[in-house]
Amino acid sequence: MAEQKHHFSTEPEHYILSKETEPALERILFNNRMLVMVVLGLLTLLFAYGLTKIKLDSSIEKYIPLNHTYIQNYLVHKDDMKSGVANVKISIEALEGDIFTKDYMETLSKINDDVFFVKGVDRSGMQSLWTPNTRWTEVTEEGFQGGPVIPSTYDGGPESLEQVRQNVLKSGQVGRLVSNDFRSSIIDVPLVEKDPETGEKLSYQQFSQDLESKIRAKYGNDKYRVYITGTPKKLGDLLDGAKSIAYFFFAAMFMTAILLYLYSRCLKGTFVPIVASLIAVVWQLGALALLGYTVDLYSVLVPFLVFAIGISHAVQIINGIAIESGKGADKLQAARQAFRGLYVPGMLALLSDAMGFLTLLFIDIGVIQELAIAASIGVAMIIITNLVLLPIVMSFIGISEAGIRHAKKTEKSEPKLWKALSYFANPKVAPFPIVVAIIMAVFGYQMSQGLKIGDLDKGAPELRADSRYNLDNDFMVSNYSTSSDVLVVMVETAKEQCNSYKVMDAVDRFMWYMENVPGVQSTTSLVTVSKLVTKAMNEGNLNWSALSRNQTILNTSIQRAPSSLLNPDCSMAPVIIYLNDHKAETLETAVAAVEEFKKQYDDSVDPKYFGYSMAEIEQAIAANEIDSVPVRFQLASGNAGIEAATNQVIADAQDTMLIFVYVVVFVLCFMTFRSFTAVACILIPLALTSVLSQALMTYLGIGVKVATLPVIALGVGIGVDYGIYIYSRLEVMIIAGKSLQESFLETLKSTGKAVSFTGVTLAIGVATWILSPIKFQADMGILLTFMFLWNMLGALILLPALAHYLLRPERIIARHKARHGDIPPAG
Amino acid sequence: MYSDLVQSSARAMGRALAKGFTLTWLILGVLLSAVSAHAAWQDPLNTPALQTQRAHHTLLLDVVRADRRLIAVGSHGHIVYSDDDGLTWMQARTPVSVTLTAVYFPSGDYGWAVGHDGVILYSSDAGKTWVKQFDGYQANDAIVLAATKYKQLASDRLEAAEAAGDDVAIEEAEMALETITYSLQDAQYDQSTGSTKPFLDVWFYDAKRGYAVGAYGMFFYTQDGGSTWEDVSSRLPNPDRLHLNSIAMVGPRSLMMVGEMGMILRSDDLGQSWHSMDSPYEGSLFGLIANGDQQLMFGLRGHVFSSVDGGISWDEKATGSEQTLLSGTIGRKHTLLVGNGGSVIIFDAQMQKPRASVLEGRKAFAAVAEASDGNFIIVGEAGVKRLNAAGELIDQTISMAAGDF
Repeated sequence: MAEQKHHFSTEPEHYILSKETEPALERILFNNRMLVMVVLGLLTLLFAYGLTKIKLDSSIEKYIPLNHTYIQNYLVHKDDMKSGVANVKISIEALEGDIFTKDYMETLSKINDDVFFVKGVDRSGMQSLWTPNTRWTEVTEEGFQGGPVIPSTYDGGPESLEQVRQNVLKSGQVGRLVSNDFRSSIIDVPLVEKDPETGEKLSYQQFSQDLESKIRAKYGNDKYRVYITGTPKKLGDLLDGAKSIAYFFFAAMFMTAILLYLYSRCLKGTFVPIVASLIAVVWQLGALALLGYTVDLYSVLVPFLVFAIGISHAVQIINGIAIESGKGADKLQAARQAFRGLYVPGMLALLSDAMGFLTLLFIDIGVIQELAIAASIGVAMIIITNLVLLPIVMSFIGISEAGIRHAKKTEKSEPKLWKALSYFANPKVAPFPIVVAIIMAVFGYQMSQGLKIGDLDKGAPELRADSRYNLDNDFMVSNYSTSSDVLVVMVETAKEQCNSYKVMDAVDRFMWYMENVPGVQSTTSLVTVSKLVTKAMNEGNLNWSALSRNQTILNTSIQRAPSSLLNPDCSMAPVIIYLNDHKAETLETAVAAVEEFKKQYDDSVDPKYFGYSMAEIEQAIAANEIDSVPVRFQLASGNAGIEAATNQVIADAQDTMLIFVYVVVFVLCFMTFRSFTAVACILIPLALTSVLSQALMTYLGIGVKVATLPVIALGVGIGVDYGIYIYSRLEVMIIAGKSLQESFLETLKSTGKAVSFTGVTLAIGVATWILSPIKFQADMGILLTFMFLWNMLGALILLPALAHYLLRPERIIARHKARHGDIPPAG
Repeated sequence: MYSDLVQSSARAMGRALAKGFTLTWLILGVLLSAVSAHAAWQDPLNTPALQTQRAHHTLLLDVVRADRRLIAVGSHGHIVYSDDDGLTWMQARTPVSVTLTAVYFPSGDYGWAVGHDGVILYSSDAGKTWVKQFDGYQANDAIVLAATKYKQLASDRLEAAEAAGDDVAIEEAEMALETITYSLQDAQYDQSTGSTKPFLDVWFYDAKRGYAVGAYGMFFYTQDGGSTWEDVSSRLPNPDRLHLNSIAMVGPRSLMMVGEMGMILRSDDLGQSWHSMDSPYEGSLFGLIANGDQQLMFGLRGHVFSSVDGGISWDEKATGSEQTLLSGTIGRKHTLLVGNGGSVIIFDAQMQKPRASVLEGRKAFAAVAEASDGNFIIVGEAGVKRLNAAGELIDQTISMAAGDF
């Protein structure tokens, strides 16, 4: 008993559990091993059952900051603006010649028919050269003339084709349904998002796969190429991409197993940690499902982290058991000793991970908050599965002789690497890493000044630039008059007033104002239609391209406007602003311009008036409550609008989150080691990594976005583990009276291997994401791999050098003596 | 003791809250009244045009040359001018942001621009700055005034005819009275609802006398350089109030106008009296260009007619294009017509041998002028473009410079 006490008191002070409870907890667990096993086994069954309930979530709402004003404004009109969102465009390109050939028209007709029967297609809204709603019109002496672009007399002959060509030119569809170079044409496919009969929500994944198999695979050949774009297709591709995550998981698991075996040379010591970590994953996913959470494209990554973190802790335990067994302890005793030695630092490390994750809750975006919750739950699960279950299981099966021999051998050996690394604590060598770190910090800081908010790549930023979808999107953007970056401003007014002259004039002015803003390509709204039709009604005379002050003419001009350009009671008309790209500056400039312009109008008028009928408005005007029909310009919808809101939330949260993460790890470290210098030794390498990772982001063109913001919290939260492990050993050695360099060498001999193993395991887990077809997962993979490895290097190289300058060994020893008397430290 | 404390603190809180509320309401009230006073809609007839670097790139509807300077007008009240034959443009200062349709400079210094909402602008510094002379509200008033006067005249005539018992005269007078009554009613409707009509062309004889013509037969005359404008539509044989699309000088004292439904009008006394001419075409005519008696007239669906006898007889010219033609100009070597769908028709010096071409992008063009270097400047949906003397697009960047105020 005395020996045990002796052993414990040499550990640095830990705050979470007092020493008195320590043996008690151990006693409770290990004296009821069978019971604990049964309880944990049952829990595993429960969570495994939960696992079957898990669902992949494709709802867009979780990815956007729902509480942001822009999004709130958008949600008010969500139903009015449905059209255009659930819409897919299929373009068929003739690789030789143009579209005016018999064969092309026939193929297009067949594709048109096939698309018609794909589940989810809103058949009445479909448009292509072959649908009857694609018409040409012409002003003649007798008035309007028109007809379908492909006439009923079409027979595929040269004359018919020439007629189609003429009709296409008259139809105004060049740039819309027909590409500017006449080598491809589009089938525009609106979707019915809910099955009108069953009420079932359309599966984008299924729809996307249907298009691939029934259209692209069937018709794409050496004569024709098929391109498909649109939000539903993108979501389908993303969900497909999420599937490959499973393969990455198995790849990471496989590599980890090999590493584990090399590390432990014991099959049991390889197998048990993997099973325990898998159980942690099952618990985490099962618990989430039972709590009613779904898995999304972000939280699908959490199992990797849980698994890798689980393994790293399991390794420490296995290592401990092997060492204890090597000292002659039996299975049970070795497991108990290992548990006793590791559960406090283990729990501390895991808690700091969890706290780090929880700082993500400050970001008001669903996926990030759920990521925080999922990761925190996962880490909490590891405490039970890997710190409790694993040693208990090992107390039954024990470690193999080969494993024990290997552990003994490594403990005695003094690898050259450790010897070399230990010099970083040497007074003569220590300045170098410090100088290098300062230089890197300065350069990194300078470079990180170029860090941008938001997505920087063109096309769909969620997918890779060379992904099928983005290549298709490039094709559409370069061959048709369209942009994939759209900011929508909702112009609100009283009921039935969206087409009144004053409102239309305000919109007209707004559009021209916006067209003068850098980054804006063009704008479209009800006003565009009105001017176009007014001109057409006046025989195509350009002089009439203006809004009429005659309400009758105005009404007529928008009679056949697309329903997407006004809501049913005409109290809202969206202005669609096409942007060059969705870079943060472009978005900020555009949004700032809108904010500036909207001030001129009834921005601060009581919102209630916007729902009023005209009669009520007239009353309000008569009562001098308002001056005239109210008009206001509300941000924002469209992918660019949502992204602008997201960027704002991220820009606001970025610093807060960083500060909180560091405060949390600071507090945890300080409570553990009760010394500012110790905290500095641990946190400075972390801070350097944070700066360098920002520089890396700048270098790689990765912006601060929904995907990369969590990386900082994860990197710091998990990265601090290395420092904690290393520093706690180092302190023990210093108290034992060794020189700093000797202390560090001893530290490396006992934990250096575990620390580097942990770094590599974690890096492997996240490095597999780099291969993900989903761009933001790949970005997260790159950054986390960098952070995990760099944090490890920081702990192995920079920490000892800092320790040389910051630590006062005599004071550490004095303080230890003051608290624990003359009890000698254990080595 | 304890409950006392709770109660008193609750009371204090209540008071603070109430105070806060009153204050909030007070501030809100002040704010709201201040805001609603500001947030009034501003009439584009009183809103200066936006200063922009893109004015040469937006919809422009007319372009003319005054000495060496080119002046173009267009949407949102924009007027731009160029002193280097159309390579760089500067934006003029205009007091309105309504769409301008036509511009005319009888001399190098002073000129007029007209447009939607019945607006007439005047510049006396060669197009750099403009003032508003007239707008649609004044036009509505003037039209009501004139119609009231003519209604009175018509009913006087009817009375006289009835007194004379001349049946033919009575019938004529009754019809005239009916027409003018409808006109007056329409004018009064426009006046009360504030619905205005666009001017489509403007022409000045000298610094004092000029005409502005437009939609629904609008026809205004000034003889004091635009200080006052008078509705003189009663001078025209245009009972159906068809659009007047274009006015041009065709002889020392002769003017011609073309309009809707093939309407051709001619005056040989500088616009005092007008007569209708036989038209070879029933569709709309958008323009007429004349070199004395040699004339070209054009309109809907690529129809072009030429006359060598001052518009008495017309020959249709086959151009091979079916695109509506909106404007034209007679250059030193070529005559050019432009119109919808990027169509450009080039005639030789004798206004013969038309050759149709389509400019890339197929944007509509509304007007053309010859620059002093012999190149053509065309304006339209895509803003300003330059064509060489043979009508081919010059691939050179056209830019905007800061105006020199």
